[in-house]
Amino acid sequence: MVAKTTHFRVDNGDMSLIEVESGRRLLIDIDIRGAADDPEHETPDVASQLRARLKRDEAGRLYVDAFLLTHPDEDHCRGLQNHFHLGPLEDWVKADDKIVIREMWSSPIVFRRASKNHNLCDDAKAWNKEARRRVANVRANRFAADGDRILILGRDVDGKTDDLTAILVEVDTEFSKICGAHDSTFSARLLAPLPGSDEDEEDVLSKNDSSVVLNLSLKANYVEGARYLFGGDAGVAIWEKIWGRNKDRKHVLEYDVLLSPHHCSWRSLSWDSWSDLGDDAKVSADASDALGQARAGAKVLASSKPVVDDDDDPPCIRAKREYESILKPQKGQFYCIADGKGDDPYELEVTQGGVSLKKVAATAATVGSVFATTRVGAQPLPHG
Amino acid sequence: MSGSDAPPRVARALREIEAHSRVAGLRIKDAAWPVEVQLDVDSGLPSRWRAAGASPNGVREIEPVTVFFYESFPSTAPAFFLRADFDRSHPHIQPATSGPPEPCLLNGSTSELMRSRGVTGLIDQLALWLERAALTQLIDPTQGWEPVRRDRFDDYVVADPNFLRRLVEPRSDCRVLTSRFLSVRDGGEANHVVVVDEGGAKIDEGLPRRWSDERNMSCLTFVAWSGKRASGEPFVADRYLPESIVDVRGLLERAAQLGCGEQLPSKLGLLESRLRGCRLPRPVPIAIVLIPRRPCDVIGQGSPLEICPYLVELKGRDDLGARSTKPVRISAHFDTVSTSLLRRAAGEAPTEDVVPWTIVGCGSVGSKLAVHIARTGRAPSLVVDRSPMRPHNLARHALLPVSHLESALMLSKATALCRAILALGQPAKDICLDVLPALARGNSAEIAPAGTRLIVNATGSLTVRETLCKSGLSRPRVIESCLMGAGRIAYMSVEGAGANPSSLDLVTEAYVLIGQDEEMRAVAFSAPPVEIDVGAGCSSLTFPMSDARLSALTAPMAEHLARLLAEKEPSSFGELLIGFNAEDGLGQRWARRRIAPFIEVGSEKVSVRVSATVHLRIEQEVASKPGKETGGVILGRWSDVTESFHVVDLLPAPPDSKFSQTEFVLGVEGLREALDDIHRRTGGALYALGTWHNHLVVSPPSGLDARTAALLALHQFFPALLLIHVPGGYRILVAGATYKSQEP
Repeated sequence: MVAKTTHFRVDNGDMSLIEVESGRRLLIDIDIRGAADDPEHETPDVASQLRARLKRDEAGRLYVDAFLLTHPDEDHCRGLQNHFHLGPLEDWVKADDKIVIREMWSSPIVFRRASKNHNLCDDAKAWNKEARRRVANVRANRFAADGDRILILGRDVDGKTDDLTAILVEVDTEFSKICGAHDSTFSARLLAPLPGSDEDEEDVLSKNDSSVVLNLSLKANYVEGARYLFGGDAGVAIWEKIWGRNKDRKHVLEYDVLLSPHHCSWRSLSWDSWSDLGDDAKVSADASDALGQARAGAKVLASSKPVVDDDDDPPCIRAKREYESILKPQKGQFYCIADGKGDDPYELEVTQGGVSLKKVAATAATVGSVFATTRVGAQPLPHG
Repeated sequence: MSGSDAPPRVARALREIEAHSRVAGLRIKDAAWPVEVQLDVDSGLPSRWRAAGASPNGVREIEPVTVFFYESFPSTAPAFFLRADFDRSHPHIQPATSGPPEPCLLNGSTSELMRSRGVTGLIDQLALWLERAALTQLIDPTQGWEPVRRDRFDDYVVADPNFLRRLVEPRSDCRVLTSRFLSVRDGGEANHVVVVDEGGAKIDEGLPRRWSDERNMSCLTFVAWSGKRASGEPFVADRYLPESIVDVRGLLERAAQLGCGEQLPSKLGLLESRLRGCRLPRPVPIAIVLIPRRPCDVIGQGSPLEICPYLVELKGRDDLGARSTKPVRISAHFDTVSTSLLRRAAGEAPTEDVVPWTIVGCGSVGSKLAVHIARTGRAPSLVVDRSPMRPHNLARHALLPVSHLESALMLSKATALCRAILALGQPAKDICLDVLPALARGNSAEIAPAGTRLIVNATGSLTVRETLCKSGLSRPRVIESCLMGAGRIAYMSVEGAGANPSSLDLVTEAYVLIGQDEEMRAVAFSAPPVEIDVGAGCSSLTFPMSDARLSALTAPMAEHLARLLAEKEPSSFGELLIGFNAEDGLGQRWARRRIAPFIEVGSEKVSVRVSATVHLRIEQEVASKPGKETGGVILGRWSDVTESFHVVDLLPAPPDSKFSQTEFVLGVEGLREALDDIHRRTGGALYALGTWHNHLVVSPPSGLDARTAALLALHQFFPALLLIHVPGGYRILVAGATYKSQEP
């Protein structure tokens, strides 16, 4: 199958589904607002859109192979308890029909205690509880099956993850395992979380800065098709650190698609406040370089409300301008997910020449078959 | 841009085209017929190639496309042409040798597509074509080799591709095969179909004489394949070459490029020398099949050996040498009918595994089932029917006589069906015997040799149904399929593993189900068959109905049978499918029930089979009256062929019954009416078999039980059954009354 990515319309939130060529599905963050579950409300019903794109296992359960929560903020995990099965697989209830997470991909922040910088919404607490359940299971059994699997992305500060080598992915390494199996149709390079160098710095870094930053390479016809850079809500401090660690191997930061961090926030590109300083606010050269390794024709996506020329941040018009200047020499495109028509998510297909917009109806579309979808005046092709 | 100069019907279409999201520009170049329009089409390149302006194989970000609307528009679709320098070696370009390159938009009629999806549908397809064109040439070999694009041909070569591939040896060679041909002349040129036989042929001296016969229909096929390179490695034709062959010279050059050219010229040279002195009374086609070895599997073929057939029309004194300009025609390769072809066409995996099964009964239902299934590549291996085809059978039988004379010949039904299956490329054997005597003797080997997976009983015969259920008969599962109620009801039963539930259990259950449906039972239990006169003094007992009505109900059963044949592990449960057709034939509804295995209680002489539902109800009734005996009336059927009772329903104890620790006395209040109601609802198909009651401790039937049974037996013409529930199981008591001669 063709690798494709779906970016749901969730205003200032993140929700992306990655389907790799092997058919495995990786969900990155969710923001399923209560209004989205209300059929009367005009908020797009992203839960149904997601469910329609998932497969069921032999027991009839919808599932994602992996769910990456970049960081435990509400606009990245809202709806987790309502829509996802948490707890042992045997407790799954048909009537609830919740989605099974075969493998959690979590930052090590789940091991932290709550603090003034670390208060959690209920969905985030539920994620933590489930992650801890799975880690405890791994510690006890040294093995996990689908529904109990977990990967910890990044080492924690004080050695809490040291005994978890089997499920730990170290920063600046690549992996292509999903649900315990090697999958040659993708590889992922972990660029962050980067813990503070001491407790003080750690205290300054916010939850946003604990975000998992991942550069995901998706194959098309067995060659590299496109690279996606997902940065959660990582702020400027993290992007500067990422540049510092990778400036001598900047190819690892290259992307065909960048999900602009923190819903196109200026705070990922600058230490200055946009609302206070306006155009006098200065761009961090290092952060801009870290986010500036666009390939030819690259797309920068803003998973946010429409970007308008005002003092708001996020999304910030100045951030959009900065991304556009990065994209210009590459003939790339900045696109805000909220700008599309209707409720449908923004969907891309991965080819050996980069990404292209998903066809009108790409199912089994080959030359020689009709791919045109139904439209006014269309009629079924009869067969005799 | 405006289309106002163009004829209104084209101008309307141009407005729609201009609005297409992929159309970046539109100009009318000539407004007179044929209207010529220039389009700029966004070829939807992926991000990196779009930034570069073109794909690595030269498809531009914006492609100019010329469109011609002919006067017959919109009855016929417009034609689309690409710029003259568009790479012609692309696999999806029409292999035209002159004129601008034409994309092959659709494997079918573009006019039909336009009628279905409008002119927008054509532009969708054009945009998709360009998108795919940019991607295709870079497809990694693991995706498969793109077969040579060959779109325009008038001739066909019919051969089993697996047979052709099996000819290929490591060393390059050319095999000559006997073939037959058919020529169709439609006005000018003749079109040929060459059917390749699987036997080798000699290009001998007698060939000119044989081919000079006007009635000759035999010809030759030359098959040449890639051999080895000088280094000893297999020759791999790894360059894509567009189909551009027009003459023998080009063909021989191409054969050499593909590594197939070593032996072909000498074989053609021999043929040329044989025909040197002769003029053929009519053209004889020969097929030349090149089989190059590709670096990877050809897409859709499952093999790296690509089959490329050509055709040369011989008239005698033909030049078949290396400089010959004798025309060569590109031919289409058609599969011979085969299991894998049929399965592919039916939407299944093109496997060749065989599931041996038997169909007993080749009448209208049986023949339809067998032909439907044979057309999915899973034909029965054995077809059994004792009767000949009679003219009246043709009203509904799946087979058609090829002539009026054949319709009068009384070929055995089994033999006729067997021939049809063989013609569909599948092996089958016919048995034209009455199978009942052998079955009655307990011998099923004839209709179910070892390895037979299923027997399908489509005889519509109660005798066959019951005989197949005789105890001691070793046989595979039986599936019964028939119609009831003058063609309104379809019935299919599928036995569980180990023939439990059996066909008899299942049909008895079905009577319960049908009896519960007011509309269906009126049809099922009341339609009498009609005698149809089929000749002087001859008549046949049947239900008059149209072929269409019969097919409508038989086809869903064939679907289900196909599923059963494809399933790896049979279910331990049995299954009932009952279809009901609307009176006007426009609509049907189906009930599908899983039936749990029956509980077998019985003795050596007589078998008692209790349905799981009845067993459960008895257990519940016993549990509801602790410390007391209880009971009721048991309903079902008795078969004297199998000496078995089939218990499928209960009547509760009438209100005046007595329940105590020592005995249960069945009351009579309302019992007569309840039994009459059962009789009325099922037309007598279900009836009281006897009674059941329980014993509180494990104990044999009592003296009282024996007296009751004897009393019951005197009131009916089949044995009476007393079913006694004891803790952990059942005891039975069967009493039968028989005829006693009145001695003087």
